[in-house]
Amino acid sequence: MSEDRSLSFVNRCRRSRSFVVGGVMTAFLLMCAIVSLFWTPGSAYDITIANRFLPPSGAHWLGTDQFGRDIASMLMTGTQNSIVVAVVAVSIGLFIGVGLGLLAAAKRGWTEEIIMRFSDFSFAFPAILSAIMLTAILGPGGVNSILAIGLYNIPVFARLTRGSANSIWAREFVMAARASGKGRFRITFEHILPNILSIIIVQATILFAIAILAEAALSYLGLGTQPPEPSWGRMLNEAQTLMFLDPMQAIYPGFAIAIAVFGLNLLGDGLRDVLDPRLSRKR
Amino acid sequence: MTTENLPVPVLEVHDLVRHYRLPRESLFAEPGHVFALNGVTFEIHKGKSFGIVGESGCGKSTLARNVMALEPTDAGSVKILGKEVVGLSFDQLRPLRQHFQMVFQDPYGSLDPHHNVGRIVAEPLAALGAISKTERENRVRDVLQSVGLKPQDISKYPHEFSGGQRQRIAIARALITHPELIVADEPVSALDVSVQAQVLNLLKDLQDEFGVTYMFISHDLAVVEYLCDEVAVMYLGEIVEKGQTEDLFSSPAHPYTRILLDAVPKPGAGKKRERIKLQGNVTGQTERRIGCAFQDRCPMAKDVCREVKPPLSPVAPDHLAACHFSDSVMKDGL
Amino acid sequence: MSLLDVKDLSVILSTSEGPARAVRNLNFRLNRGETLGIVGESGCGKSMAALALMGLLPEQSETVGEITFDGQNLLDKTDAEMCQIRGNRLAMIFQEPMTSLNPVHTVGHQIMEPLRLHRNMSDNQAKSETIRLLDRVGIPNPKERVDNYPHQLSGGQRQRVMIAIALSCQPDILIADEPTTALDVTIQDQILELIHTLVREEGMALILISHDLGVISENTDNILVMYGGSAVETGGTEQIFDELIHPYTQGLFAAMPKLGRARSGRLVTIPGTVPDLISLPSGCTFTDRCPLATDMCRNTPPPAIEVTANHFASCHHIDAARNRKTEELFS
Repeated sequence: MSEDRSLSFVNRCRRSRSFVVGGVMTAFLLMCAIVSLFWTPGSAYDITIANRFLPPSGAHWLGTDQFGRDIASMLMTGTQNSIVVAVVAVSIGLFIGVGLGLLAAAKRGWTEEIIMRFSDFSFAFPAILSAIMLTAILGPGGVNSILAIGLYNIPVFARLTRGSANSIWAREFVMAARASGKGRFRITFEHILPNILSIIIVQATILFAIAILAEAALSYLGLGTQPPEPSWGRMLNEAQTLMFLDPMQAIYPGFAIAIAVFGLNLLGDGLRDVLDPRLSRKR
Repeated sequence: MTTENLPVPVLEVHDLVRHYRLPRESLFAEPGHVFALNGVTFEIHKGKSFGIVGESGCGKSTLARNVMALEPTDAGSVKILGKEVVGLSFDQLRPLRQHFQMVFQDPYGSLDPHHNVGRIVAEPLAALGAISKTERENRVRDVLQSVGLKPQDISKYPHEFSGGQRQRIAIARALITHPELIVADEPVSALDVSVQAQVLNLLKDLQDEFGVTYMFISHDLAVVEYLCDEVAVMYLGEIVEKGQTEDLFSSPAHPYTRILLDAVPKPGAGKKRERIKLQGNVTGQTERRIGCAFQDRCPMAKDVCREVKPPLSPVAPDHLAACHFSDSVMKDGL
Repeated sequence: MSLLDVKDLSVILSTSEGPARAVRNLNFRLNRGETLGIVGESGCGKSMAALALMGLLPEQSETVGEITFDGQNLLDKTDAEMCQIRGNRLAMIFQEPMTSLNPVHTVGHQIMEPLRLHRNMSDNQAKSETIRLLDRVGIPNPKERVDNYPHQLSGGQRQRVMIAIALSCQPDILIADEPTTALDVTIQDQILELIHTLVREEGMALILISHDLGVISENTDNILVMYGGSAVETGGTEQIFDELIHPYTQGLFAAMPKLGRARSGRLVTIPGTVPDLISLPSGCTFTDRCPLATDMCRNTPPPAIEVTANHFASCHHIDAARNRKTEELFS
């Protein structure tokens, strides 16, 4: 890549406010997760009934819950959980979905028809409903919720990829590649994928936020991460019976989810501006 | 010039047919068809330029894609250097592709924005199988030089070039395998006049240097006249007239050719030029008609034109036209 | 007094790479019933000049100079006042007949709109006027075509509808920006013929913008040749084709393949490419590609020199340009 091109890339990054703000928020989230691997202000696991409902203090930054666990530590450790679930779930969707989408666009005909009708079919079920069905069949747990969210992501990526890939297939430079004797497989990886990559990355960022939300919802329903692993969704669930006693217990995890989702959405918007200036509305 | 004693033509197209099926309008309706090519026959000899002119929808781009074996052909034959390519699978075609390459119309759309010039130009070498990196670099450098680009341009990206330079890159790509045949689909239509002249001269120079054969598609008669040795005029998926450029342009034998030539605005001709007016629009390609393809717009159409399809037949040596009245068109005009 | 008098018109666009002078110091006049052709390649400022006349320039632009239309300076007008003039007294047709019609309305609806807006017609009056206009621009069966949607018409017919819309308010000036570039030659012929007839019969003035010297030559009284935002040569059409003076005009004409002149030698080419407006020299915009260019050309804008009556060329080396043949000039 030539120098002035990469320079303008950095400039575009700096100029996009949503990219900067979203990036900072996401980085903060990642940092929390990494730090919590080595150190947390208190313990997210130890149940000490004597310490229940402590107000915020130097030892317990955000106070403790009804079992005496440190809320700040639980939030930090919960970040790990959310991120792992989201990363794995989005990766499942990304690899299988993008693969199917590329295949559908490259083969057309019956292959495309089958793949697309199949994804239409899975779209017919609301995401959370299919996740509940899946966990009802396979049993609750972290791994199953990852699987459920990942499965939901497959058709989303498949549709997006196939749509954008089809528009690239119609371009003249692809015709030129075919006239050069390149097969569909090579064209897909040399021409189609690089040209739709930015769209896929942006979509992945946004689905990442949705996956965090979905994981929280499943945990809230008791279908996701099981105790004693801390999770934002379950913290919300446990806090709801104490809404009038100690409302802050519900507000903290709610706030964490909101920050994560908001930050990732901003980052997705920002990435869209940065990677593909043609897509942004301003110019 | 006679054709009998010449060696195998570089391109031989015989009775080529291509009908696209339209999507069904309803579940029970018969699907409609677009009759894009209805039996096209011509051949091009080594080192010659063959022009194909016609208006939008006459099937000239479809013809290019079928000659390039980029889409399935319904019937007929395309022989490149005597080898049949219709019916071959994509893999069977690959080793042959080095002999025929293509230049596209849109210099912005035909180059992948994510690849640098070196990679774009080297693309057709893929069909040759493995070659060493230095060999590839040398060939890219040589071919860039012959189209008038600098060796430093190798690492640049398409967006750093103007339209004319991009078209030079596209020509370099078509040239790198030293093909016998280059199919050029409106290669200068998107360019400004001053740049168009540079590209046309370049195409001429490359022909002198490498002896490459062109199948040159254009809607611009003046451009075809400048570049081509032979011309075919297409209307609704058929060749209506074909001949040596000089003969065809000086004494057109088909009313459509005559009207086309007349419709081209001529700089310096003044406002008072008398023109033959052509009524109506290009007729749809979705219906099969009996008789002459041009009957609806022809100012001299008679009953026979609506009943009998005029064959493409000789009107002079090396000059064919598909009109019942070609003799009178040649002699007296319209 | 002329119907339209453009004095020292400049348009400056602000782009991400800095200000671009899309039009510089343009001067021309247009009388009722006259036709003016503006010819030039992409980026020469011909469309920008037309948009400036219509007051339709993009927001990040600055227009200076004077556009006097019927005694009033259009550049002093407010947006609301321009709306009264635009479409009513100044009408424009564009290159793309595919995109300049709204696909969700019938063509009848789109012609009736300005009739109701500017001419206060009732629905019934507007409808019958619409049918008359469609008939006027040569659309067969206008009574049925009124209810057609744009996609049901061919490219040529759509351009006819665009012309009908432009005509609907009997404008004083019709501006046609590359009206036939997207059309086939036989259709182009019909459309140009139609514009020609309408202009003559309705007594309008016409500004025809094109990159095609042939189109301009056959359809205009006067010509303005633009390069890099400035006018390089102006004059009567016949005068100009009698003697092309400016090196750019000479080169442009020579670079064009012409029917009947074929295969005799090579085309003359102008070296280099069409420039981008940001990097143009402050003097003559053609400096970088001109075989006669000197330092003076780069730094001092050339004055418009009247070579014969009403035939102006802007060149510092006008005698050298006149004395040498084109083939010699560009070789």
